[in-house]
Amino acid sequence: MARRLQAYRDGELSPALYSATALHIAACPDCSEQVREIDSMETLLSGSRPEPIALSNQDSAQLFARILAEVHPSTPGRREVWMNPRTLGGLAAVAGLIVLGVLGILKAHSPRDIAAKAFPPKHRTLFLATSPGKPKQKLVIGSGPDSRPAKRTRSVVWSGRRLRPLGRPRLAEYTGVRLTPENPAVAPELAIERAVTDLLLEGTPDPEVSDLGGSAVPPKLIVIVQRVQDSGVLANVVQVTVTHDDAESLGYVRTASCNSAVNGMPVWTECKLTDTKSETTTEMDTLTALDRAGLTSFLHVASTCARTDELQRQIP
Amino acid sequence: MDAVETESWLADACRGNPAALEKLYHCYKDPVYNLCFRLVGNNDDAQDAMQAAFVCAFRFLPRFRGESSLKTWLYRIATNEALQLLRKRKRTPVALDDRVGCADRSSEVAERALIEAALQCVKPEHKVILILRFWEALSYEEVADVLRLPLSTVRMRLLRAREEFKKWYDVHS
Repeated sequence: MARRLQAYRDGELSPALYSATALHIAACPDCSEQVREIDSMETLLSGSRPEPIALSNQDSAQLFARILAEVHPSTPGRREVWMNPRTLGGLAAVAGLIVLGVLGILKAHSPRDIAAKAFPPKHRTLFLATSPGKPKQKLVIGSGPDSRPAKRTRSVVWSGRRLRPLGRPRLAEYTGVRLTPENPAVAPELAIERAVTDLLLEGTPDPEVSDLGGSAVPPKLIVIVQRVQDSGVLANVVQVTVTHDDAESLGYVRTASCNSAVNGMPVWTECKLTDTKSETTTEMDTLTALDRAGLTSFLHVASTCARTDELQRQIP
Repeated sequence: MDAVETESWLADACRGNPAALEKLYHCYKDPVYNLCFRLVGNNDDAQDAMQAAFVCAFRFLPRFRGESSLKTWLYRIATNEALQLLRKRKRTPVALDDRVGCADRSSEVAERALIEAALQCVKPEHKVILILRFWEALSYEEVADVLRLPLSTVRMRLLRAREEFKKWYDVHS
């Protein structure tokens, strides 16, 4: 009844229901009192609306400068170094030598070739998510603890279908990943891309990205790739988990992403978040066609959001 | 703002044109700042939330599909940033009546301080919905759009928010 009285007060009832409710209120002292209470509460709240305030021009300008710097990070100091003709000349010479020296090797390993091998168009790339310590029954890549795969993957289940794992899962684990924009020098999405590419191609992670520096209590980035067969089609199941050591105590873990190949380059397409308490996985369908910037933003949000529904709302 | 005029620079803003981004910022900085201030209760946190909101908005601008108004879209982001900040910092926001001056305690001022204190004490999601509805004067549909909730959920949450607010207010008034 409270809802109907509220709707009556807001004028959101159909004419027939409105008339019926009005008649009832007129005859019912309790409901009449409730409507009066709603009225007085709304008047109280609306009447207490603070006067609008404005930022000072100086604050406003400084704030905009900070926003722009964050959106387009380019520090003046760095620009000066790179724009120095001597630096540019030296770099050009070094780059030329490198290009001439390793052209043959690079020819076979251009980014496009690497991506094409890693994500062959005939192979479908599937998404898999799990939660550390509590592998989900529907989304399991391995039986080891903390999202680590067992020596051999027993089963891969995706969207209710059991896929046949081929070979051993490949794992890369990174610590020190700073996922917040305060440290723009670290690009976790690049690390993930490289790790996935390396795992798919070589079976080992790139040592250069194994230590990314960053926060004192770092999130951990775990990338697992498992080759599977799905109805005769080969696929790469990629799992990327971003977690803190205290993920269990927080009751949630951000498990994100899969990729596919668009124009020969890997593109992040889906994100999911797993709530370790309710053991539910939320599909971030609003994040389809996630690009690199989107992934960065997602990781930032995911590393700071406290709840699943908050994260869902956070992504515009 | 004229829709045609907005459309003319919005496309540039989507491409990251700083001048267009600045225009967008100047058009919406005051309402976004006020919303953030009302939610977090002090200038420093409001600026932090506002900064995070505009950074997020500028990054995601190419994906703004115009299904809601730009203002509603920005409100959505700002609300989330402010809420996130409140939860992250886990400290009681400075009461808004600090600005008013505690020496002058007329009944009107005292009542306003009480309302603001009540808003600080209710659950964050209740506070948000009350502020959006009564201080930002958004319609139910706009509140639903900002919070990305079904209309029925908005109605129910508003009802509960009012009850929680009233309970606190009645005890302390």
